[in-house]
Amino acid sequence: MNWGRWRYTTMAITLVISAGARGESLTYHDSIPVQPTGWGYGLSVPQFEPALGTLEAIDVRFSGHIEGTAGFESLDAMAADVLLEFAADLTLTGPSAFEALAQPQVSWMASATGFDGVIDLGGASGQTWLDVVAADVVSVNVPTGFGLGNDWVGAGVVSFWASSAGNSRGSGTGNLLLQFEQNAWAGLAVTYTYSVPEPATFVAVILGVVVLQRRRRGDAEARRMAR
Amino acid sequence: MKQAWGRGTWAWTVCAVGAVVCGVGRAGADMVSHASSVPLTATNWTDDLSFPMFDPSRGTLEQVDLTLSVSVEGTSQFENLDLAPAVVLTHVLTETTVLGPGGSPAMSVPTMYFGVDFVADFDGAIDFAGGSGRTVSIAQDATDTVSFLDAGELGLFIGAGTIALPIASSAFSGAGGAGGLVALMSTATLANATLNYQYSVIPAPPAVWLGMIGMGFIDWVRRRSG
Repeated sequence: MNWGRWRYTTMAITLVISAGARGESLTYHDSIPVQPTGWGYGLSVPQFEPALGTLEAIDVRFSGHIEGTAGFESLDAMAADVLLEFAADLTLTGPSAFEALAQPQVSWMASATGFDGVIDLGGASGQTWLDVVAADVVSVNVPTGFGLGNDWVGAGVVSFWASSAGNSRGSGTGNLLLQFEQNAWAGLAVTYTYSVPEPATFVAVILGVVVLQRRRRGDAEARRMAR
Repeated sequence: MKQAWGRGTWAWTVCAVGAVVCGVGRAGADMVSHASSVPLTATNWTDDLSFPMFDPSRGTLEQVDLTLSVSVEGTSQFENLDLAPAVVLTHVLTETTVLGPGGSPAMSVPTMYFGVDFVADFDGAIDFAGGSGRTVSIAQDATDTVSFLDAGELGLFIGAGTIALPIASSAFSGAGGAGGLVALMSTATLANATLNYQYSVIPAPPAVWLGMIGMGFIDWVRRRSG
């Protein structure tokens, strides 16, 4: 095999590899509406339809959101610092021991004077934070090789269980009033990345290579006849 | 030589030994105690523990012992506002510190309370009771003693007036565990302090010698009359 033939063969293989499959992705969503923390609900998305192509990757994005208010009133006679943390743990479990944990949280360190005489979560000895929002997004890649993604492939649905558990806390003085109001919601997005074979492109490339090789042979034959 | 240990000589010897024994007996250790206290007060307070100073005419001050007993009284109240049961963690830490006569920290008495309560989902009423709330009473006691032995520090306790030792009591409390939560922590402390002055009594030489002289006089009178 001469250099010219190698060059054509290499080009043909490259073209086949690059043009033989096309990458595609498909994303499904589900969510749990906002409500007081402490819920647990099922979520589901369609399984990957194998007729679409070859499943290459599964990406699960789980987002946990909390919102609400946080406040305190120091009842001590002297000034003090108060630490508040507005937080929750949102857990998602799924097939094949799939698990994701989102931990949205926001915290504050506040200074307060001695008790101002009014329990109003405000004034000099207290403070309130309204419309507090915190989010945490977790991405998990689900292995698909060696049959690990079988639970995600088919004509049915992939079922998940999502739950929220509040974890707000506050500390500071020995005489202290803390108040947290919290709602939580969660979102789920499952993205299937797959490859689609393209027979038409494949055949066209092969034909092109064959034509080029035949033309080159024809040219070589003509030069030899001319001599 | 036999005459040297006659009746008179024996009387002198007994007299001298008796006087010395009496003198040594009076030179032993003794102790005087004073008390001071701060009534039950919401934490984050400062005050003074006042004690009479040591009267140097009593003897030589050898050691001062300060014993501090701290009692904590409080309540931990909370209500879980979540839709699900929750484990609510509460804590109350207190620290009561006394400064020595030189102004440096002499002792610190800490107390610790940790509460772990499992409560149901919100029952609809913020009353720190029912299935979703708790009211927990906190009562704790702690005692510690510190001794002052340094001559420089002991000197600050000696005098005719009173000595005031600054005392401060602070607390650190908190609660957490649910997303929606109302918590009310109340903490108060009281302090009882005892100050012991340990001292050695100085023997009284005039009394010893007066006794010996008196016994000698009696012996002389008996010999003269005999």
